[in-house]
Amino acid sequence: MIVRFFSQAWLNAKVHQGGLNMTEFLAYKVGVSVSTLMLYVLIARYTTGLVDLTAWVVGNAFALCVYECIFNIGGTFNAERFSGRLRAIVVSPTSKLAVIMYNGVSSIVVGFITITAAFVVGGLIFGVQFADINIAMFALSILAAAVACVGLGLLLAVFALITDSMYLMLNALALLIIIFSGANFPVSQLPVGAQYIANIFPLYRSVAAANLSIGGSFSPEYWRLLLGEFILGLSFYLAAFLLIKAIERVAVKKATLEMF
Amino acid sequence: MNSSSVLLTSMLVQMKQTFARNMFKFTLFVGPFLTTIILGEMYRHSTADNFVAYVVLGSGLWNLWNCIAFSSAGDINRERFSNTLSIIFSAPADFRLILLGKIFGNTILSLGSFFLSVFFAIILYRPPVIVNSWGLLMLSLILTIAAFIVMSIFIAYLLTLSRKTTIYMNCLEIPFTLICGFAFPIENLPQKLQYIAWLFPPTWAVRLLRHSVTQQAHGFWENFIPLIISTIVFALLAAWLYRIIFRQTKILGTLDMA
Repeated sequence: MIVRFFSQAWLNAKVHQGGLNMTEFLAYKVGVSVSTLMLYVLIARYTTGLVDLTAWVVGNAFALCVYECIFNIGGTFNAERFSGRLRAIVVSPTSKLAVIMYNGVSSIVVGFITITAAFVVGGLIFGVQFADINIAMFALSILAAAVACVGLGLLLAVFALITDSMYLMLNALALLIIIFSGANFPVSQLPVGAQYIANIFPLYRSVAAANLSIGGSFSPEYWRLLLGEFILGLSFYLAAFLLIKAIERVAVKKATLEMF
Repeated sequence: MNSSSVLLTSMLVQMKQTFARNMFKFTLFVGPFLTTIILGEMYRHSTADNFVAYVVLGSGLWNLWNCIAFSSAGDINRERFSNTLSIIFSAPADFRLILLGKIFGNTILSLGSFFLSVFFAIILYRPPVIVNSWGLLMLSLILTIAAFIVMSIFIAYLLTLSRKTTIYMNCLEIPFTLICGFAFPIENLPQKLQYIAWLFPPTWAVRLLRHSVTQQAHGFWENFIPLIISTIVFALLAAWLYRIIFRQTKILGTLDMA
């Protein structure tokens, strides 16, 4: 079963990444990530006038998780629909969540590469003092962010069985995650109601935890944020697990599988 | 069918098709609202000089560019996937007119995202709207639209040869927003990136628009002349590119390779 999982993951990786040569990979994956990070950090530099932009570099490096985890994992069934494989997947006895998960393996690997590259390049451009960052705290924050983002991607992917508006939904959520992450401005600037909503979005806690890793040490506040992010991520997995059967049934009943 | 009919028909069909796409509804309605919030909140407590110049115009231009990058560039891909690219390319009607009609249609719809962003920014943040010269603002806006149309034609031609338009579309959106200075002055960029930014008409269009609002982004002629020159250069490049592509597609036969 494990061998099958990884052979399917490898096949998916070849489907998604195999069409790119090295130059295209660097331009599309790394180049776009670096420019996204630079765009927000340069706006922050202009608006705040600050020299130390470490918090924005860290926050926006985390926000890049959104592009790989939300778009690629969340768009799994949408992509299968376009390649004409969705019906075969639905009628096969295989676990539908496993299909999303093995699609997610390459997203996680590519996401890790692009985020690391963007963080290092962005850090060098904006003079981040890497020595000030507590690596263990930072790594754990990345892990928590990845768990939460992949979980949300998994949950979103399920909805592709009943809607043809996935790109609208994924793009809107990606921007909402960036707004509620606190990567570019404090969430406390938003109206009180919106601040409560931020609690159910990934990255809100992990970005705050990552910021504590700059010149900080493990503290109860850090563990509270980290635990919160892990619990949020696990809730997404649970919700996806509970919803998939019901949504699959609705999709078959309403014949929405081939809806373009 | 005369040229104006081809242009008009292509434009109308394009507008109907584009408006039916859910993704375009995102770029038209949802995107402007959310990017305005991001920019507005980042600028809320800033020491930057003019909220209107950077948030109201900035979010408008950002969204206008998104619509153009994802619509005009993506249309070639959509035609390819629906197996109509080679048909419109070899039809008796001029392919350039068909494409121009599509771009006009997209631009008219995309202007909706620009005005919606401006509307959202004004409603959400209620900035004091002080415009130095409304006449100059209108002229700058018309020149900006012309510059964006020329860029759209250039990009659409460039992507006709490639089967990887989705990748290149994504490569266009954020890097252009960054180097053309839609959200902050390009003087903030590293010097080498500023030299690259000077090549593109949108950079000068943005500066001209800001000048009409603030009078602080250098003089009118300093931005107007480079905008006109760069727009003409890109228009000539697009015309040259078309000749090459017309020849290459016949030699390679790759138009329908999806």
